[in-house]
Amino acid sequence: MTEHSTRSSIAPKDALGAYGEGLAAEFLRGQGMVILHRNWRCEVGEIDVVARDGDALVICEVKTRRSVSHGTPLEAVGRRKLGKLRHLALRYVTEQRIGPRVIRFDVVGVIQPWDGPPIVQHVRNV
Amino acid sequence: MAAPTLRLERRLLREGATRVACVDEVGRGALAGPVTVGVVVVTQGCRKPPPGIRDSKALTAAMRQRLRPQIEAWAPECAIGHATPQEIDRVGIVTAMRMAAVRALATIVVEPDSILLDGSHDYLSVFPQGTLFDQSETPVIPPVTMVVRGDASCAGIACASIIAKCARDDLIRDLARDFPQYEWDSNKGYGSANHLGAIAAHGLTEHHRVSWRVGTPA
Amino acid sequence: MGLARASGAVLDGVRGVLIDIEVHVGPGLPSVGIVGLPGASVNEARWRIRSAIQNSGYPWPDSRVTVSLAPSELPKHGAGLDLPMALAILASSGRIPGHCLVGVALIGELALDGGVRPVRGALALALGLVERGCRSVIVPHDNATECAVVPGVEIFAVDSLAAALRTLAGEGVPVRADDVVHDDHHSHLDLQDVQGQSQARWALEIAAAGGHHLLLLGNPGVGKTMLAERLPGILPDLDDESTREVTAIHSVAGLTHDRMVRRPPFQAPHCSASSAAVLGSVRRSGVVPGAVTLAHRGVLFLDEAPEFDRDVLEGLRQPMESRAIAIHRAGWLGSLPADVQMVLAANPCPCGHYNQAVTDSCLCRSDRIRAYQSRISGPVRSRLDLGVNMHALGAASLDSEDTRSVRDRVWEARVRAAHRLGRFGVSLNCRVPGRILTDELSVDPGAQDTVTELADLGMRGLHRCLRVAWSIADLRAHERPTRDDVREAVDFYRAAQQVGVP
Repeated sequence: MTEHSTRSSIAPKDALGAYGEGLAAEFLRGQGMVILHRNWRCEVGEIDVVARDGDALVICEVKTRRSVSHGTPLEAVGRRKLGKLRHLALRYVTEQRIGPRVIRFDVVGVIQPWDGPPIVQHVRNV
Repeated sequence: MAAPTLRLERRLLREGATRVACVDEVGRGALAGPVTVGVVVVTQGCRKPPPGIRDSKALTAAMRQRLRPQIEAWAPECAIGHATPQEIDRVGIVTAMRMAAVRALATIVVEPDSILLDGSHDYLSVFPQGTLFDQSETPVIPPVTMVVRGDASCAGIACASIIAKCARDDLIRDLARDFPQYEWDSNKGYGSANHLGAIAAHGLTEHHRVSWRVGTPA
Repeated sequence: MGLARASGAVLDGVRGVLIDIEVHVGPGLPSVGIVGLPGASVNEARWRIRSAIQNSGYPWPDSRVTVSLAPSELPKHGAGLDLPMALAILASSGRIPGHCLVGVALIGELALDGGVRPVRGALALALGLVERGCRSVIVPHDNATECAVVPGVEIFAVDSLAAALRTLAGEGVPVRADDVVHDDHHSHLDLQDVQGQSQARWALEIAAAGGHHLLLLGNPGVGKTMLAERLPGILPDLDDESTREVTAIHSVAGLTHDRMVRRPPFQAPHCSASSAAVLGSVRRSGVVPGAVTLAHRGVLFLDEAPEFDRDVLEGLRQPMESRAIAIHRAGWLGSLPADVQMVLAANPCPCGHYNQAVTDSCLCRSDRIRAYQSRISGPVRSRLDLGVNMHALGAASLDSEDTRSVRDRVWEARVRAAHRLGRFGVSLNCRVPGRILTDELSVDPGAQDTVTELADLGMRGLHRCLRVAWSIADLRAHERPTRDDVREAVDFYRAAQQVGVP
């Protein structure tokens, strides 16, 4: 079953990102993970995908690009972004009232050129 | 950029071929719709090709539409073959391109004895064991000559690319009627922003290449 | 032969959670498989259980045993599921009738010889089971007294697998908790002990009425600690749900085992305490609540607040904001409850000699004072609602009111607040969302212009003052905050926010 949002249409500037996130969610599902949340928001920011992998809680950032001409999608996730993800994870766990779990931060990079199939890269435990 | 000519086709004809089938494909990298192969046969007796022939990507849709009947009148024989998204999912894009080419070649009345193929990868000759073809379709492929950027230098290949593009565009326009949200009229099934946005919002249809959904993990 | 079910429990953070155990003994090579995210000890249970069953005189099933633990997505730790799993295995292989396990839950670790060992947080586990409708729980002998205080459930104590079987067969006698013991009201700390300091006592009362955070400033010896310790005394009893929550937390932390905690807890970590001690930590064996969780639904007192570790003070920002704390350590992350009322005490300056009445009493330079007070970081300080300066006693003062009278007033004020706020889904003034404050609850018309003058406080500051003003109004039995009520609230707020000596 394909993954898609319930929005009736998506603004053009968000289209690539939304498409990549849908792809990433399907990919993670294919890896045996259970998707718990997509685009979880709070005033600090947004977590692209929250999933469960066995007994671990996975906080996942998705980056989608057209090509690798400006670096791979994974290279776009820097230290600062990771710090923010950690902060978001704390908020998530508090608001959802989740007890202690093993936690892991993953990144999924999607390269979707105009011409050709997408390429998905998954890094566990950044 | 100079116009494509029949120089290479005529050389093959001088060297012993009598009917050169010029082959090009379109739709290889699209996320939706078929992959389409066009074949245009060139013989000794061909006159100059219709004026304005260029690689299909260098022409507007209107120009291509205008040239198509002229090509069909000029060339001794023309043919089109498609492979569906389901077939692409089942056997992979390369085998599907071969299927489409074989289908096109099968409708040519007088068999060609030479193939002029655009690109650097010969997907026609290589015939691995145990493919998903049924036995009756086992084709005999004449010798293949590869031409990189053939669609820009060889008029025969350029004509093949034009009729392939027209045929595929017609088909895609038909499909777009049933699924307007994906805007295939404009993006022709390729991964443009509006197409990606529609996929994110509405998911996939039976015309999408599902196996391309989560491409190759790198 | 076939499927059997039993009920057990594990801890998820500080909560006991009912675990449904399903066992199937069926054809196949002898093996034991446990599914449902068992942690290491739960997985090792198969060897403990096998030994215990055999040493109790029963045969171990000679076929394939599959144990399923639900809910499957909750990781399960600890060995407390040994006993119910063993019983379910016996039922599944036909050694005991399955119906005897219906409506009964079991807790306990098994020793290899068939004995039953106590588990950590047994009371929390029992509470979790009761919440899900269990009316009888079989527990290890050493956990019996603590579990017996849980109301509404029969507790049976066993010291061996064989004893558990006899209990299930109907031969068990429930442990009697003589009466369910609650905390007593009459703590030895009384407000009467505090002489004078009428302004500070008033601030304490307002804080109690509305659940506001309080800052006490004053030189050493002036009575800040004494006053803070007496705040719980004027707070009302915990309601039933809070009592269960707090008692469970204390059980997991290994604190008091013999009573349900009815009185708001009080925690006063030392200023040298580590982050883990104050905020909590996670270990492989489970979570260890910190002071802020042990003070859940009660009071957290930070004496010498500026001396606390910067990380600790920063870490308190989250509980003050979300009433829960997320703790993380070495790849673990989890949230614990932390709904606390904060009291911070501090000297006005580092040297401790500042005396408002005497100029040049303090030897500190003003930038040192500022630096000292700024250690109570911005985000924490901005959430302090009331501040009061306490001075050394001058002449002899009037008799101080006792805790009882103040507690009664606080209770009445809270009743008024709850009545007014019920339709918004909150019951304390400190919880009223900003939007409701501005849109739905208006102050006295005479106080309106005072409110508009407070633009310099910012939106958040204004809301804090309004909430305190409502608490003052409730204590004074005003329908709405009057101009004086608002003015007083503002004075208290400014006193809390001011950096530098007054």
